[in-house]
Amino acid sequence: MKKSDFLGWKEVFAFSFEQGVKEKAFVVFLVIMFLVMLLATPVTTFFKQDDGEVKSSSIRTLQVYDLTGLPIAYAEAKLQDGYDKVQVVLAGTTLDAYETYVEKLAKEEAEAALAVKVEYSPEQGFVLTYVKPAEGVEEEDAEGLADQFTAYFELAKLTAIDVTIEQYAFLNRPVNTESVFLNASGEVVPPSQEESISLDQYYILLAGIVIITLFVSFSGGNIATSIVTEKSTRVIEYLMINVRPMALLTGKILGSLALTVVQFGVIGIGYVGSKYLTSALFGEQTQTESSFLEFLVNIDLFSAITAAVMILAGILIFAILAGLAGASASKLEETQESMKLFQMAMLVGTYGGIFLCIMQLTGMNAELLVSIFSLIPIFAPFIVPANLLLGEISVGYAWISIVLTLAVGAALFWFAARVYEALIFHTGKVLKLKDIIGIAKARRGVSDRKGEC
Amino acid sequence: MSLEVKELVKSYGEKVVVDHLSFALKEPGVYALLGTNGAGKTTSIRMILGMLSKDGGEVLWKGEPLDTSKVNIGYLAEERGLYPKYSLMDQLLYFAKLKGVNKEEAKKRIAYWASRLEVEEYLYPKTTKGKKKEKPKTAEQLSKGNQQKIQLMSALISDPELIVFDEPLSGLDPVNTDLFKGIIREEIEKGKYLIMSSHQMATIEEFCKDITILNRGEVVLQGDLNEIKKGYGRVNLFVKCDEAFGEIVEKHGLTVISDTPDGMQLKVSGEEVAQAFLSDLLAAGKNVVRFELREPSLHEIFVEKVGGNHEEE
Repeated sequence: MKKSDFLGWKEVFAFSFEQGVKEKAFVVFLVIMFLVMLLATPVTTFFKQDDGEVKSSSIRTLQVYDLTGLPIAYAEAKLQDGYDKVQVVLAGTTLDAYETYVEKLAKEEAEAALAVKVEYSPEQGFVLTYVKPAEGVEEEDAEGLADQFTAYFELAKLTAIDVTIEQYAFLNRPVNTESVFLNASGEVVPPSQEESISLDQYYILLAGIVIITLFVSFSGGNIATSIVTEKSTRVIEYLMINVRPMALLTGKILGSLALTVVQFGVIGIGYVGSKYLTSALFGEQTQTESSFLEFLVNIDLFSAITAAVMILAGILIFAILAGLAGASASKLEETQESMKLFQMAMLVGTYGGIFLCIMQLTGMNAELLVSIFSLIPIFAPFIVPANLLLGEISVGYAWISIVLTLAVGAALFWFAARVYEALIFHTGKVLKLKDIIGIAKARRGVSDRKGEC
Repeated sequence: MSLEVKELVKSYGEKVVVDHLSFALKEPGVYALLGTNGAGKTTSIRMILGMLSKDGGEVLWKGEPLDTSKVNIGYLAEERGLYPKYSLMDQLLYFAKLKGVNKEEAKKRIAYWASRLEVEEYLYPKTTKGKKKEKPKTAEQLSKGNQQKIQLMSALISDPELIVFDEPLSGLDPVNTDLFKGIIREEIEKGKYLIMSSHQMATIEEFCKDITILNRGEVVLQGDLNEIKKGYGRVNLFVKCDEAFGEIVEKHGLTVISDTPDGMQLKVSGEEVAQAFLSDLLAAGKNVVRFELREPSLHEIFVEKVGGNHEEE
């Protein structure tokens, strides 16, 4: 590769990017995605709020049949969330009284009210049986009251036996065990670290894989289509008067990548905007959002830069594969067929990443697998960035992965450029991988720019 | 000598598609590359322009190997190529930018060529008061002839010193053919170097001084067109009389090429034979309406050289 081989790539890049941005499909997609991202959280929060709106209960009385004999002052029960006006009454302390009430309820002789039987057995512990009349009490309302009363009973039973909440919490503290091992010299061997990741970390790894897969898929499709269009319309013949195939390929790949960056940038802005919009409108965050923001806040700059470089290096590999796919087809309708190799590589990378996530969650020798897979360029972009940000792999190791990915990318680009040159005037069917390799070896297409051989 | 093509060779496997092609454009003007379909014209042009690798030979421009990124070249390919869905103006500006023409200058030149080629309405959307501005036109909205005009604009927008036209007039109606011919003539007058490939022999005769005829990749005839014709001599005789004159043709043993109500086309061995034939016609009292002795046309030379010996693609 010579410097002159890349002359004109900036013009090709600028044109590819500009035309991509002008395309109606691109603009429509961008607007829709932006609006979806911007409005998704506020809208769901609005409906959640609506769902959780406190309604006043229509139930006026809760009749308690306590068979435990515990000295609980039910009349003093203070219920919350719309049940504060419900009167809790100790209606009986025997099973007969309870059964008589149920019989009356069945014959519609009793007042339509919710009843609860409280009993205790050594086998089952405390059992609260709620009885709802067939009419007059809504199921949702009854369930809400049951939840409120059960929560009250949990505390009331402690008070009844003179146990404070603090004492109860103390008794419930877990008992952990730890083993200390000594080696042959009598020194303490440090305990092995926890190998499995948390559920939150698992979701972050998965989110990373999904984002990279979407990025690779969008940019790959753009690149292949753009290359095939130039070949099928014969525009390529005009471009090649002034620009070398290497520069053409570089400009097109970077142009399509830039378009994808814009897409994701806008989606990202929409997401951040939605967070601000939600807190401005509702002033709250869900627990998941808080832990995600906490994760973002804790990322150090160098790790973030390393992760970004890894993502770009990885996406570049897939972009070059897409370029290779485009080079092997000569008609637009053959683009999908030519993308088989690209799609297979993307799926292998994605599923490999998901497989590792599951392994990490279960903690089954995942550390070794993550280390190995991080060095394989097809998996690296799906695995390294999120694992690096979560502290599962070191920055140094991530850079080894980046260097390897870039080296493979450079070799792949050289190969793709040779194939692109050789197949510029190819008008036959989509070529198979072995044919492509054969052509790249022979390269019977474009020569060096100068007139000599 | 500005363009020199030396011993160009191209083969695909065992098949040699261009076999040691050499020619030179010694001075500004048009050089014709002729041949049947599949003769190797387009392959030769692609090799000259560096799009296709050569298996042998070299191309020199002003004594140096031709570097298409440094020499200002205009190219009109046989297979027209425009982005179907992008605006025509954007495409022309892009091609101009690739050739190193700045945007302002490119816009001026586009305006000139748009007016010259009568395609302004496709490049400049109408802005009617009170109505929504029209969308810029794309290539897929144009007829083949108009697409060809846009293509010609992109070839000439950089005011190239070397111009390569591969079948420039194919598919054009007579009006547009004349328009294109006028532009080609202007470029010749400006002192440009042109290489032209065409199947329209009359057009080649109109513009070209030097020619090469290729057949199956091999050069079968090459040189100054006038000299080539002179070499054949004035052997084509066209005669029309009011009366039949077949017996006189037989008497002189002339070869009949064609015999139509419009006259008889004959082949003679020399001017003396033609003169003797005319004397006999007059002596026999024939009323000679037309008697034309001329050199063979390029069409006739072409057919003679490659006729019955070419392969169709």
